[in-house]
Amino acid sequence: MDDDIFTLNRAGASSDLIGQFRAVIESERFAGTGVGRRLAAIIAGMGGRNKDSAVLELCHLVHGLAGLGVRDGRRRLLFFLSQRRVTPGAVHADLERIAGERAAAPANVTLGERGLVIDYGGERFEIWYRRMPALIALFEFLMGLDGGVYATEFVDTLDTIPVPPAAVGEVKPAAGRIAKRLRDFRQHHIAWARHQEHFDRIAMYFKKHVPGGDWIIDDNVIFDFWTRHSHGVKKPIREYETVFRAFVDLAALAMPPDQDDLADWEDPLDVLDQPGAREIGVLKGASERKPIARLMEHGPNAGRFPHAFLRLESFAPVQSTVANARRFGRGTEAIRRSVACEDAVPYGEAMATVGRVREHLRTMQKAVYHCLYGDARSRATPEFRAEAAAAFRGIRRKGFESAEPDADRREAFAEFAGALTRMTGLIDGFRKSVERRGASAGGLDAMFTRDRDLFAAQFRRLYGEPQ
Amino acid sequence: MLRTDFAARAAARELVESIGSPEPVTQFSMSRLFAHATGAAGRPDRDVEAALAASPALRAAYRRMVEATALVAFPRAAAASDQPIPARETDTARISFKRSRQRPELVYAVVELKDPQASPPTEMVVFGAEDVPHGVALPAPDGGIMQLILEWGSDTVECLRDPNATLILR
Repeated sequence: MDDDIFTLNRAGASSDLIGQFRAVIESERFAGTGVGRRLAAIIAGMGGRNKDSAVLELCHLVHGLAGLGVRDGRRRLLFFLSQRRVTPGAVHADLERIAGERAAAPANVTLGERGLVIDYGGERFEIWYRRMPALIALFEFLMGLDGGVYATEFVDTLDTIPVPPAAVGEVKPAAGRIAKRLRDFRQHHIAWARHQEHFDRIAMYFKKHVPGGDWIIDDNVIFDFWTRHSHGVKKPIREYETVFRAFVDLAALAMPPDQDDLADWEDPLDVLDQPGAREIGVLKGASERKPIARLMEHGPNAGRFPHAFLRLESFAPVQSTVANARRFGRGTEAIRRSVACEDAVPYGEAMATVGRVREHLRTMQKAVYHCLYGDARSRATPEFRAEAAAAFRGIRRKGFESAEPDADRREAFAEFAGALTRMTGLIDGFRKSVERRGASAGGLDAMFTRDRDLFAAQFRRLYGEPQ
Repeated sequence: MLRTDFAARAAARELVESIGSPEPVTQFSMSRLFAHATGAAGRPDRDVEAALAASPALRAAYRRMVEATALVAFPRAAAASDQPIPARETDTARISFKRSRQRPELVYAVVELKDPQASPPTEMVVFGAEDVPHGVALPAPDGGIMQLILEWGSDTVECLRDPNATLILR
């Protein structure tokens, strides 16, 4: 019967696609760098009308490299395929080394603070160092397309990209040819019909169940869709988390956030997994990272659907427990407790935990600030500098032994600084959304109590009363 | 458009969720092939060799990698050569072949490095039909000259007789 379960995000890609993607991303070069998420978005063609912008960016990078002296296939392959660990810092260092080998780089290609800058006769194009690992992964993926069938043509196409100086338009023909090949690959290797069928199902829901058929996504629509489609229909969508993700995807497309930085959200926890960062004890796994992991993954969308997200945090783990207990034949008492949602974490408790992690992150922010800017050059007020110094002194964690870190650690701290700011900002925004929602719904405790009854009733429909 | 973009997000998520799956990764990356082609891997990679043996496309890619990182990449030989194995030459090296009169089952290959101070190659690789690579270790140079003995009728010599075969030193 499980074969009939309609799962929104499964069985969409061919084994060739997944195999090549994993071969690139799970290699020593990219493992644990967070590049996988970006490469997946490029391969799948996320980004609407700009879905091929990464290919164009890659071609600009090849052009810029030519300006630094990487003009032949040999040096290009060395740059794209031979780095052992591909991180923004490593790529930046490699580019500096390459540039240093030339007596004088052409004036229209320069290495700036944030990235490689190309001046196309007045039109400026910049490729940020932090984008480059994804472009290098894309290069490797494209070269391995269809088991290497495309490699020769790909290399030949890159050879047609002119050496600077050139007009910006001269890079586009090569980008167009490569993008077409990627589009064809996408078309053949992704099960579009299946994914689009999922979309159609949501569209039908709006037509049938929302007055006027308006596509307005809110907390209640997400819950209502789940209750209607998780039981008693052909191909039920059982998992609440699956439904939540689908609606978040739809909302991101149909109701994009106003601010660009929200639209381009990337999980800041990825930064903590970067090589060099993992040796620093910013968050303890179970007590500090896990309680905010989903929030960081979904980013601003959690704040857009605060009630739906609270439901996700409290009841999705319970549903997983029920499903696993049934699958592995665990005791009926464990199933009964889960179906009754007896172990669901109350919303107030979940938010209190998030609040504690937020305070910890703020302390970390100050400590990192102290390590990076704690000297006289700091522009912060004396009070803040004193707070930052105290925060640093109070931390007993790996990586915070010295207030004067070496260059590698400084680089990791600089990455952390941005990630910590995004994390605390996200948590603050989310807490405000939850406060507003709680105030209009009689408080978090009342919301939780009502939801526990609703979820327990639905779980009983899905899984039955344990005998 | 919305429908397509929705599907793209779902497809991207599926890829991300595949990372770290317990199922073994059956393909290998181009950087691994490149490490093999350049000798950076440091040891034989049986998976890569088996995949190369099975896939003409992969061999073509591999040939490009080997060519791109070669110390010497000889051009095609002159088709009108009267030698059974045509000589080849670049700005930095020359390679010629001579069949032994006393022992016709042997062929002498002589590599002349035009700059004896340059870093010497350690392997000769010739790509045969469908880019099948055949590698032969080179001896240390003596005064910029390296000499090796090949077997007439061997796969390597058969490939070398083809003036269009790709021949490199690395």
